[in-house]
Amino acid sequence: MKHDAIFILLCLAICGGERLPAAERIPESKDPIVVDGVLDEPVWRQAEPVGVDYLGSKQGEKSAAKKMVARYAWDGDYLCIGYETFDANLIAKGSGRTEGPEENRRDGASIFDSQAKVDVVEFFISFGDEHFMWEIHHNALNQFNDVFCIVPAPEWPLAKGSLATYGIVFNDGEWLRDDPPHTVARAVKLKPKADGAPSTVNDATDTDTGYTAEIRIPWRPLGTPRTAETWRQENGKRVAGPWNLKGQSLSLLAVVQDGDLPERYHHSSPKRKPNWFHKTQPDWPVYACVSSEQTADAAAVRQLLADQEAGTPSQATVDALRTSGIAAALAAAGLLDEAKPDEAEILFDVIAAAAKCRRVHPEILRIYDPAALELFYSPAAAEAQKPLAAGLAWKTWPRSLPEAVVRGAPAPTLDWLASQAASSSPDLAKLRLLFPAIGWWVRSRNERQYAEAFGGVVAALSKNSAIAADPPTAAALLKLVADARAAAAGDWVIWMLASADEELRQAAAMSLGRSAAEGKPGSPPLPVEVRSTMLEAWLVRVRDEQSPQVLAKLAEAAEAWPESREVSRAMVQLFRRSTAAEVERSILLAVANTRWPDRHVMIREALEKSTGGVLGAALDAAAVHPDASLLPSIKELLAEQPDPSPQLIDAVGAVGDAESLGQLLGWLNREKNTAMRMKTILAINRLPGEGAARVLADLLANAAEQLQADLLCRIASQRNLPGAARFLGGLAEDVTAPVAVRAQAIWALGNYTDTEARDSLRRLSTDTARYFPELQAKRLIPESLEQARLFIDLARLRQGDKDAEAEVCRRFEAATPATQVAVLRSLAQGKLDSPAIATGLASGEFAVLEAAVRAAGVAHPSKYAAGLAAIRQSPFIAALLTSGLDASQLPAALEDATKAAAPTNTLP
Amino acid sequence: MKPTRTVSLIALALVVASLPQPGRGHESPVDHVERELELFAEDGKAWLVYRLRPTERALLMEIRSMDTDGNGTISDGERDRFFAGKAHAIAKKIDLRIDDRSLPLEPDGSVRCDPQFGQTFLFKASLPELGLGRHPGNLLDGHSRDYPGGFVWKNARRKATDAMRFEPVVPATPSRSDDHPPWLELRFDLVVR
Repeated sequence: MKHDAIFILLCLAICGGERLPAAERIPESKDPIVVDGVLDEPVWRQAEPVGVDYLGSKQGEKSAAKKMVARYAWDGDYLCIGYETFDANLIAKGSGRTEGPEENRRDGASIFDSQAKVDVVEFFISFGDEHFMWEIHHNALNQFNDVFCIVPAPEWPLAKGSLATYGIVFNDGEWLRDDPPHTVARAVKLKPKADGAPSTVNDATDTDTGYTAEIRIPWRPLGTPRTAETWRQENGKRVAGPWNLKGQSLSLLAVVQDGDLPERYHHSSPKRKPNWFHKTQPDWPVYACVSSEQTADAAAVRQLLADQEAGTPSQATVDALRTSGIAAALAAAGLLDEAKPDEAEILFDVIAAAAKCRRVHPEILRIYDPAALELFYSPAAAEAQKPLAAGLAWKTWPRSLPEAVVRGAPAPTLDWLASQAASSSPDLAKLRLLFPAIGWWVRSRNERQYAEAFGGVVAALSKNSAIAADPPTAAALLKLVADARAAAAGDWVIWMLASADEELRQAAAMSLGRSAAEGKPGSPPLPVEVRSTMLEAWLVRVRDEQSPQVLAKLAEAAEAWPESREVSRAMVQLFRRSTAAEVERSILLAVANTRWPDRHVMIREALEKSTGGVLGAALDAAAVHPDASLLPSIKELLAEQPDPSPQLIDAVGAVGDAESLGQLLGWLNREKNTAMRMKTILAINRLPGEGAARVLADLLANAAEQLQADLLCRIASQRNLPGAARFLGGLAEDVTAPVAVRAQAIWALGNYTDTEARDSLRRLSTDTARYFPELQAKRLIPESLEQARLFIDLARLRQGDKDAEAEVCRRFEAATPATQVAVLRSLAQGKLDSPAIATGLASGEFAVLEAAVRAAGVAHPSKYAAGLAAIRQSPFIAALLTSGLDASQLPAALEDATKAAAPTNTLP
Repeated sequence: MKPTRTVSLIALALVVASLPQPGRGHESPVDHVERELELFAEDGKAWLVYRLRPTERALLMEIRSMDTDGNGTISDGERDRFFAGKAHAIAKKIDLRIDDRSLPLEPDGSVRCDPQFGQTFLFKASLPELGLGRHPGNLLDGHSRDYPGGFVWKNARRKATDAMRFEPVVPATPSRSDDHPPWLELRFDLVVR
């Protein structure tokens, strides 16, 4: 386990899972502190100032004026204390005693003198033990006492013995030993007065400003837990140190006595009740020692806050935080304070940004951000996340809190949601803030750990009557049900379909559709009985509903049952009775995305009667589902429209009516817009017969525009165009033509086996350098020419030239991933098998792998069955497919290839 | 109402066979990678700090390659072997030249992975005897040809007082990820004083 993770766990174990406020962290000093009384070491700037202003006689009440500020730091050898006083009349007096080892004697300080009214600073130090502690005193004359104190429990015999004064045993004969070469040291620096001269001690005639001081104490004499002790070898000897205090906690109370004041004692504990300081150890502040890295993170976050407050946000600070990963979130959590809402806004932004990494696969976190792995995946994760979720209990939530807690503290967030679900008076406003953050996170498939748990708690929330009775909250929850695909909330969604509130019915319809729809790969399938219950509810609602808005949402939801005969019939009925364009358009959009048996009925009726957007949707649906029954209506539209719409061109092409060739060609000749011309060429390409092929061959021979030539070469590579080989050969060998077009022409030549095509490829193959003079990139020429040769060989392979196969393989292995992708796509298009496919299936590059899967599925699926199965079984491919990352067409390609390899196989 | 005459995006779901051509690297279908490079001279060697930030998808594919025992978790050994291999592969792909002399790079130390999902490699190459003055050089990054992406050429360690320092000849302008060349070439002078 890494140190950072140990820190988090120890820290939480010691502090009972409570968050550690900033003031309760002790930073590590990277460099030794020079004890000269001047707080100029960098660590003192990183250390949070501790106010020593609480009145000794009252609990939780502060003095009006600042009395003292303490700071704590540590390194592998020492606990270091720095402090600053503000006393206007410094008084200090020696006790007359001297203590300490011979080589480090210390003059003692008087700690009470009713006549002299001495000032003294005290520190009480304990490692979590309320019975044993060190008490140290220090004053402006650098005099120093150290007393080991025992506070016996009342039942201890010691408590009733003569050693105990006021219930405390003051071992003032005991002193802090040195731990050679590490020694106790202290120093004082008097602050300058108004005249610039140093403040004076024991001179009441002037106005002092106080002093600064530093004290360092070796860890061993303090009684530091041995778990922090380390050993090392030095010149063959076992030597102690440095101490590893990361995560170690200690209780530390600072006290300042100002002899001039009636209320002379002030201290640093907001919780301490008036009593002997020794007897209030459980109420002393507890501090955890944090590593220098965490210190730096906290310093960077504090700097960010300071920059924001000053109105000078610094990109350097933001960049520094970014490099810290989840440590930045932990540092920010340590500074959260409900009383500082503006700061909290920024801190939750930091947490949300840093904790976005939770969407990343845990094995990636293991390598790149182990602290994040511990925070999210360790057995103590729920406890560890609590500091990041501290704001959930706040009265007012910062705007950025929901995102931060969903990402960074899912376990406490789930607990909070569960408590709301069980509450008779849930916090509806806060739930409405949280729902969209959860919905986006889950819908985007970022939730790798708790998707099911979120679904469960959403279902529990749906059973809460107070939530259901509040329309805005209910609508937000319906959306969340859809986002989380919370099947268990299905009954509630169905119930809400019949709500009197139209907006809630719309939300319920949308939620029903998304809940019932087939999930993406890796999503748990919806139980069959739940789906059929949802279908029944949908059928009833679509029959009874009157609101066009709700009906439009119900039509969208119908896509959840893309092959259902009942839904198909219901949609036809709805289409016929509907008079609202938005409903008709929704139905036709759904038709395009489904395979309903009655789809052509709806498309035909829409083509016959509709205009505007509805007609456009009908044409789009016709392009997706072409059918001979649609032809008369489309022809009628063709006759009516001198200037066709893009949708009409697509539909004409899709229905494949050879008689439309003349009209399409007429449009093409008149059309100036390049994109429309390309669309029209593609439509012509979908028409069957020699006529269309001849037209396309003519267009190829006369293509003047690069885009059009490129498209026609692509068409020629898929469809045999009469006489095309001559034009393709000319284009391929034309050194003045754009390389991209020539590449298409070379590949298309492979589709032709006549002499002209073979001769052209042979010429290109034998003298590639001459045909590609522009590949002149210095020192990359061989590689570039190799690519050109690879594509020429690929075209030869397509022509059936077996000699080209070995060349293709050799060059494929040396090619760039982008070239490999292009080769594999070409192999797939030509349905060509090649050893390059097996190489591609083993690739570590996603695009190459995807292209190889597709090529394997087309070229020789059974041959590659084992390779395809290995890809499917890879846990990391599975993780990719179930993540929100772009998996492109890989899931479909894998499914197609696997089915082709073994038709009885289906993907799990 | 007549359908609006809007031109929708044409989907050309046809084969893409591309030959090398002067174009923009962002057209590559492979996952792009962000780069930071830093060159400095010290102890008679040229040093290259080479930081990559692959996409999350590429990282997932990489850990699939790391997981040689196929158990779904990455051991320290699997990680170290993978990165050692990657370091050597990158070193072979980078051609560093000074005074038109090729200086073979070799990895130095292990790869540092950071919470921004960055991988920092350190390479070194022994410098030949160089006289005082400017020595023209360049660095051709073949890895960037395989995996294009935006880059930043950093020169943070360069000080005016350095006895040897790399000075960019072509300004080291950072390149955005959507507008970068098909491969990366740095041109500089190694100044010896």
